[in-house]
This record gives sequence, C-alpha cells and structure tokens, in this order.
Amino acid sequence: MHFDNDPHRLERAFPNLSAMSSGFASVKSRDGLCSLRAIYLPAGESCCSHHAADI
Amino acid sequence: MGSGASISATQERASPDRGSGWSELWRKEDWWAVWVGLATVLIAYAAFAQGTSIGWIAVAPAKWSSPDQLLAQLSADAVRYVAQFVVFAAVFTAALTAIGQRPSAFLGSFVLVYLVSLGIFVLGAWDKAQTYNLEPPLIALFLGLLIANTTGIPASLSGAFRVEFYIKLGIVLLGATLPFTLILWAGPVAILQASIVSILTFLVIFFVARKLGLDHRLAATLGAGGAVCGVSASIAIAGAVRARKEDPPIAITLVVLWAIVLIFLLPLVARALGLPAGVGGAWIGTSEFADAAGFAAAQAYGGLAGPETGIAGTADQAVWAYTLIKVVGRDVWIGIWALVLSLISVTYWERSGTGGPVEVGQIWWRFPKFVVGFLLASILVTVVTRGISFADYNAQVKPTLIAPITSLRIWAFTFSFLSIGLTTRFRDFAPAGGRPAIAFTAGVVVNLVVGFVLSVLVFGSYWAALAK
Repeated sequence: MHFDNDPHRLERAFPNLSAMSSGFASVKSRDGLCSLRAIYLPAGESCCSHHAADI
Repeated sequence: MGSGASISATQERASPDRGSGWSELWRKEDWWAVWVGLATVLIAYAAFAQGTSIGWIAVAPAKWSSPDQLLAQLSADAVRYVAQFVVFAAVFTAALTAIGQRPSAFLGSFVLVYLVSLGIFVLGAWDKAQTYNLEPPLIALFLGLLIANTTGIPASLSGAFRVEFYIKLGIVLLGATLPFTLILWAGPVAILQASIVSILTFLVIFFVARKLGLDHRLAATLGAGGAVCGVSASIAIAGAVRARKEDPPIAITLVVLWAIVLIFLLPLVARALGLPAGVGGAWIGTSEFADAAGFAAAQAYGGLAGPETGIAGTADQAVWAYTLIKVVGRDVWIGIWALVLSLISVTYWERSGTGGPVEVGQIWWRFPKFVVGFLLASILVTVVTRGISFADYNAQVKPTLIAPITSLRIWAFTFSFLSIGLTTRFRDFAPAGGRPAIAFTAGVVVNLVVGFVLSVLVFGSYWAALAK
C-alpha cells in the first residue's frame, strides 16, 4: 500500500502535529500520505506514479 | 509490461472521500467531544431539575492561604477527587479507545496528567497566585514543556496527551455557560472581525511566500495555518491542495513555535496596556492561530481581571470574546477555505492532476464538529433557563448548574494546556528554513497589528461591554 491515512502513523510522520492538532480531527477528513509520490492528499485521489518507465 | 498497464497497476484509490460516512460519529474525536460534552450537560441539567447538582463530582481546589488550610481542604475532599479521577478515566478511556487508542496506553498516562493538573489547580487557588503571576494555564504549559523537553518522557506514557480532545470537550462545555442570545448578538461582529484578519493574513503569507520563491502549495499551507486555525488548518489545506510530504511539518513547526510565543506575549502586552478583559480576549482570538493555545492565553488574561490588577471586566468576558472570534468567527470556515484552495490547486497549480474531483462535500467533512456540540449546549441551557429571573439565576442556576459545568470545563482545559507542553518536542521540529519563517512571521505581524486595531480601536467598546 502506498496510501496511508492511519491517524497514529500520521502523528508519527508529522512530529508535533498532536501538540496543537490531531490525526483524529474532523478537519483532517481521511487525507493521508502517498509514499509513491511523496504528497499528502485526500483519500479519494489516486496515489499513482506518473513515471511509468520506473515501474 | 506496457506503460498504461503499469500506471493502472500501481494506481491506488481509496473509496471516494466522503468523510467516513456514519462511522465518523464514533471514529473522530470531534464527535466524541460532542457526545461526552452534551451527556455531561444533560446529566447536569437532570440533576438540577431534581433539585440537586453534579457539584460533588465537579470538585476543584478552593482558595487557600496556608498549607494547613490546603491540607484540611484536600483531606476533606479526597474521596471526591478519587471519584472524579475514576469518572474522567472511565469516560475518556471509552472515548479514546473507540477512536483507536489502546486503553492501557491511556490509563497510565492519564494518572500523570490528572495529578499534575491537580497540582496546577492547587497552585492557582493560592491566594498569592495573582501577586506572583502564577496563572494556571501558563503554569500548565510551562510545566509540560519543561517535563517533555528535559526528562525524556517515554512514548509509552504519552497516551493521554490528547490536546485536541480535551480542548474540544472544554469548548462544548463552554457552550453551556455561554448564552445563545449572546452568540446571536455578538456573532456577526465576531465573524466580520475574524474574516477581515483571516483573509488579510492569508494573502500576506501567501504572496510573501510566493515572492520568496516558495511553492504554491507550501504557501497555501502556511497561509491557512496563520489565518484560520493553526496546525489543524495547515493539515486540512495541505490535503486539499495536495501538498508535498515535507510541507505540513514546516507549517507545524512555525505555527507551534509562534503560538507558544504568543501564549505568553499576548496576556503580558494586554496587561501592560490595561486592556479590559473582553477586549484582551477579542485581541487574543484575532491574533492567536491555534484554539488550545489561544484558550490558554485568554483564560490566563481573564484570570487577571479584578481590582488588584486594575483590569476591568470578568474572566468570563475574556474567554467568551475569544471563543466568539476564534470558534464562531474563524474555525467554522475551514471547509470553505479547503474547497476554494482545492479548486485553485487542481485548476492552476497541479494541472497534471492526481485524478480525483474536487468534492463540495468537504465543507461538511472538514467542518470542526465540536462546534455543533458547542452550539447545541448553548441552545439547550439557554432554553431551559429562559423565563428565570436574574435574581433566581444567580441564586440557583449559577451555583448548581453553571458553576459545576464551568469547573469541569476548566479541568478539561487544564488537561489540554498541560498536554500542549507535554507533546511539544523542540528537538522534533522540522527545519523550516528562512523563507517560510519570513513569510509566516509577516502573517503573524499582520495578525497582531490588524487584530489590535480591530479589537481595541474599532470594536473596543463593543468587546469591553460584552455580556454586561
């Protein structure tokens, strides 16, 4: 899996996030990290490589 | 393997981003703050209607002037504190387990949070506390920072450091003590004032960041952090604009650092200027970005009100003015900000696309749901106390219904302020770099200056007279 929106792992990936917000907050919706593209995006987005040759 | 097949083979798409549907109701801490907060208000009202009160369990240290007096007080109330701890621990464990925390990780940690909070309460109740500027919210924050950054507290003891859960619960409880009529009366001014500052601050941070050569998405993530609701806004906008992985940590670093500076600075400057409590609260609401940080500053400043300091108004005025500006004026618009920036992002900044449509529903999915609880609590108490004379309200409703809810709210806020300190690790801050720091600081200056002009010079008399 390249897309990860688990709140616990997100709080570890973004240090100090829980100091003034939370991985479990409504404002976060179901956004998560796409490790393939190294971006943070909504769950409904695709987490795909745009470099087909690298696959 | 053909390239097209390769792309589809690696493409991952979660189910459409429609929040989490009904499961949000038991999976998000916002909703748990609503359930716990409203249940508390309903139980408090039920007790009040039966001619009794939840005051026994809402115990907090009373004013004391000598160690003997304190010891006698704590001994007499020992059973109440034990019962209160058990109730807090049981309810919070249930709520946080439902959103995915391990109960064992929470319980051990909560013992620490409760005991340190009790110590802070005790110090704040000392009759010389004001003389020595021992404001409980600031002590909680300072103590938390000290413990977290000097003792190397283990991760296994951090399960109960849930800043956001406690502050959201406190805000719902605060709703019960804030007349809905006051929200209707002051809400439009709060929204106007907050909107002016939010839009101006966002534009300044965004365009300074762009001028310095920063990416659109980082500029927007920083801008939202300074303009709307701190780290929560940054993380919401980072998702909406498809920010790079390294963007949110930069925004988190800058927001948390500046928010901590402002927690101490704003009450200090407001006191030096002798601002009335309501005006100080409004300025803090306009100039602080993070909810919990701002509540710490507003509660600290409200605690200074009184004849000894010469600060006019009441503690409630500072917290109420802050709440109206911050929660009603700024927080509720985060979904709109996300939608607009999401549209701009996919239309202009990231046209290569990430594949998903811009969903209007995010206005609701990202809506800070604790605000629903805050408004419902306010409506509920306003409705059940309507028709009661002012004299009866002060003689009966205040001590048996409002005061216990206020006490529980202050407990929740103290847990939150302490947790801010306990979760802030200076060594974990991402290196933000000079350019993001300059852009964000420009926004902080705008927040402070425009916030001061609006809160003190334009609407000063309005906020000074709040709820008089």
